[in-house]
Amino acid sequence: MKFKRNKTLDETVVSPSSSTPTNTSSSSTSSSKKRPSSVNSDFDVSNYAIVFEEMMDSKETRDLFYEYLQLNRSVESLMFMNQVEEYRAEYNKKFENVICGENVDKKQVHTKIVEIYSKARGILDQFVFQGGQFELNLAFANKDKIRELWETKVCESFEKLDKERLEVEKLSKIISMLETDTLFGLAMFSVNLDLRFDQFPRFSRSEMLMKFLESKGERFTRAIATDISKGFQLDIRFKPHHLQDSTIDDKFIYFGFTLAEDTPDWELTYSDKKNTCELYQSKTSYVFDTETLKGLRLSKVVTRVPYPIEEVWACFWNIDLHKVIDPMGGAETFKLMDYISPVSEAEGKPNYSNQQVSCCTKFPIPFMKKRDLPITMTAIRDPELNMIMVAGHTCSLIETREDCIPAQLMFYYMFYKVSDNETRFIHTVYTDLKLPLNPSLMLKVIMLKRAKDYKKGFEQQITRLRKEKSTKDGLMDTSQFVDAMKYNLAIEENTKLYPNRSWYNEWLQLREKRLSLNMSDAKSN
Amino acid sequence: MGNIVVSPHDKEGQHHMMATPTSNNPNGGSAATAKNKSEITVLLLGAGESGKSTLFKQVQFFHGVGITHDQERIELIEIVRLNVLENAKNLVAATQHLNIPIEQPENRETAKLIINSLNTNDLEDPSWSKRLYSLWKDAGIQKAYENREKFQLYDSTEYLFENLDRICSDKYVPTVVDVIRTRTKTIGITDMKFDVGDGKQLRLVDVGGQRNERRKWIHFFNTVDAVVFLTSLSEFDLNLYEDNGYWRVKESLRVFNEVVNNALFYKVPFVLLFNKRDLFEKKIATKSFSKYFSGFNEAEEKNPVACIEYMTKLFLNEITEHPLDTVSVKTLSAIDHDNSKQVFEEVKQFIMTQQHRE
Repeated sequence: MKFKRNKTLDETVVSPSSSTPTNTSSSSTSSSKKRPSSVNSDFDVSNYAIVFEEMMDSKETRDLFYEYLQLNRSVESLMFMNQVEEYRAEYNKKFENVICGENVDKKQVHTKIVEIYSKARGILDQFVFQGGQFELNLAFANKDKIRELWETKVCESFEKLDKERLEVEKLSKIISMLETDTLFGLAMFSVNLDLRFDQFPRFSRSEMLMKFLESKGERFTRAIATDISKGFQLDIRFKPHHLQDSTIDDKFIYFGFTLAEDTPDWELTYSDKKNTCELYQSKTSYVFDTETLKGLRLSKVVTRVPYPIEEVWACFWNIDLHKVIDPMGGAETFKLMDYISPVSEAEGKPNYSNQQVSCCTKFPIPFMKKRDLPITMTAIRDPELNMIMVAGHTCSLIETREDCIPAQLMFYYMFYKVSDNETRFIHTVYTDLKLPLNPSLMLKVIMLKRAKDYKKGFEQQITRLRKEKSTKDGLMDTSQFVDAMKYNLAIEENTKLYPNRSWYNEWLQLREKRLSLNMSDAKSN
Repeated sequence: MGNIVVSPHDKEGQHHMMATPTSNNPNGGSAATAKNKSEITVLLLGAGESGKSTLFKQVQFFHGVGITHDQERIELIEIVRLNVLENAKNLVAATQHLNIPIEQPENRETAKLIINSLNTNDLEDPSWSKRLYSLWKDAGIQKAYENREKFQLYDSTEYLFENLDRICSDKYVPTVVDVIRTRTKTIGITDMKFDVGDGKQLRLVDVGGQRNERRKWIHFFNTVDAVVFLTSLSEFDLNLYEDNGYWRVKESLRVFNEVVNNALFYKVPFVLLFNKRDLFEKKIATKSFSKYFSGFNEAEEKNPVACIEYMTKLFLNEITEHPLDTVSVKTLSAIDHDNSKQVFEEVKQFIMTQQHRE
């Protein structure tokens, strides 16, 4: 058994960091499209740390893990999880369309209850109750809780059901008691924890997995693992508490650069013919706590707009234009609730300016409730790159609107000057919109529409406005625009707080430092 | 339940032996042919929380694998923090259960957050260091801690609370000691191999100790060359994790009896390690030892040597089949690096000598 990825200096292949951001998107297109799925000569499995959730989500790796657990005598944990998932599917199939009104076929519902009840009992007997064939390693208190719930609530109500005089209320009560998470949630949580912390760390270093990944190749590996050759710190994963805090910190801004950069982790899901409008989606979860943020998906829109940065930026900061360009993005409902000026070092802990915005997202899908997104954000201009970044995320600062479902989100809008007449616009979103049914597909549909909207919208608006009224340089006239969202004020005040600061350079240095750290770690092996 | 018998349904046993032919001796000839083997398999056995994995981690550490490297330990941040939270949760739950109020209002607030919403990621924020420490020092929590024999709590509780200022920081990297002191329940088995000279390799096997885990032990019994059995000295006032009404010492004695008298181990060198000596000495200073053992002279209960002697007799009395001259008894503090190194070296020597005698 291997306990450590045997990384030696020669083996550690580190791809050269892109020194300028201008090659981020253009190179990404080709790399994502043309990357061969077979073994790449640069591919080194030891550079990757496999992600537990991704491993469990992929059938092939989950099966391999099953095999590994069999050899290491703890397969009952995964057997249990598999059976509970089966149970969940069956339960949902049986009851998802059952609306317990008076005209429901009570006999039929009763039959379904009997079936699911016996399935539940079977799982509990085998895995949870004392003496079961595959008894799990559960704490006494947890076993006791589950047993009590089963015996005193489920069994009792079940036995009281009178087949001849079925009552809707009693039927629906027992259906809810047999719900998957109600019944198995506690055991699932504990088993998941044990697998994650005890067997998984060993599996992730096992020769078995290494060999498997080598045989599957780089593309497959990137889908379930993160590249750790650049260090853990830059591969910042998003944590739930980041969505509570109302402030934006340095780390959050650095993460914007990490996301904007091309890594093979991004999968190109759409590109127009000229590669001027692209949509990427990340396969890797960047979340540590998947219990509470499990629906988060990462998407990136990259467009090249053949106009100067000032004009493209103006189409964004003028909220009236932004609304027209990105109707799906919720800009229509953007409302600046508060603006807080930056805190300088002399005044206390330094802090970026803070725009607190309330926003509601509508969907093109009928009957879907709006999503409520109370947002905190700031805007900076990086003098080194001539780049503007708007960075923000949802926070718990503003109360949720009643007609909306609270959702979670973090986002970056970045405007890079490519040349005097070309701007690269990168928009990354990381969100859990609490979408029902196939959330990743829905998000893809929504994001694809937004990608096209931005590409088309910037060009249309700028052409239109230039025609309407242009300056003597032929640019559109922005003198009457109102900075309603205070984006420009934020930039101005942040620049005053940190004159000539280049976050991009800091980010590069941080990454290099991490790189050399890793190299020395590799050397010491 | 809990008996070490081959369950009839478990057919994977054979499958396992075939699938991982790490042993040269699949037919279970045991120590009879051991001296000719290039690999010596040593099994770490014992009930839950007796310290098997802690000793295993120490041995890994002496041999420069696993937790020696920063990168490896970074991956363990979450486990350490999870230990902190579990300890805090268990303590708060105990105050409710034992009806001991948490005294300070702000600590009650912290307790609420711990029970309802706090997760490992939150501990990155240094403000939690102060809050959790203040909770730890609350008179109510301390009183619950004094009564910790009444509920399940990790041995590392005090250590972790005293080190919160390091743990609650976004720059935190677990130290080797942190990793040694972190509790992870072992499920299934795990092993490591290292050279012991003479072209031989020692394969050390660590297993889970709770009742359901012990059903799996039988699968290794016929390929074992030596057994190291651990029992915790400090468990004399505790009940089981998997069965709250069951005294841990009784369980340890029962498991020891079943293992040591197993016919497969008749010729196998057997080491009995009384672990957690450090905790034990601290514990008997404040708690009565004789209260739990009617046959023990109360006047001697503050004398660790006398207590350990008594425990030794208790365990050795269980041996009915195994030849006593192939049994060695030692005490250990598995969390202490130097002590572990020394004791494990002695264990190794004992096993090697016994092998030569064959």
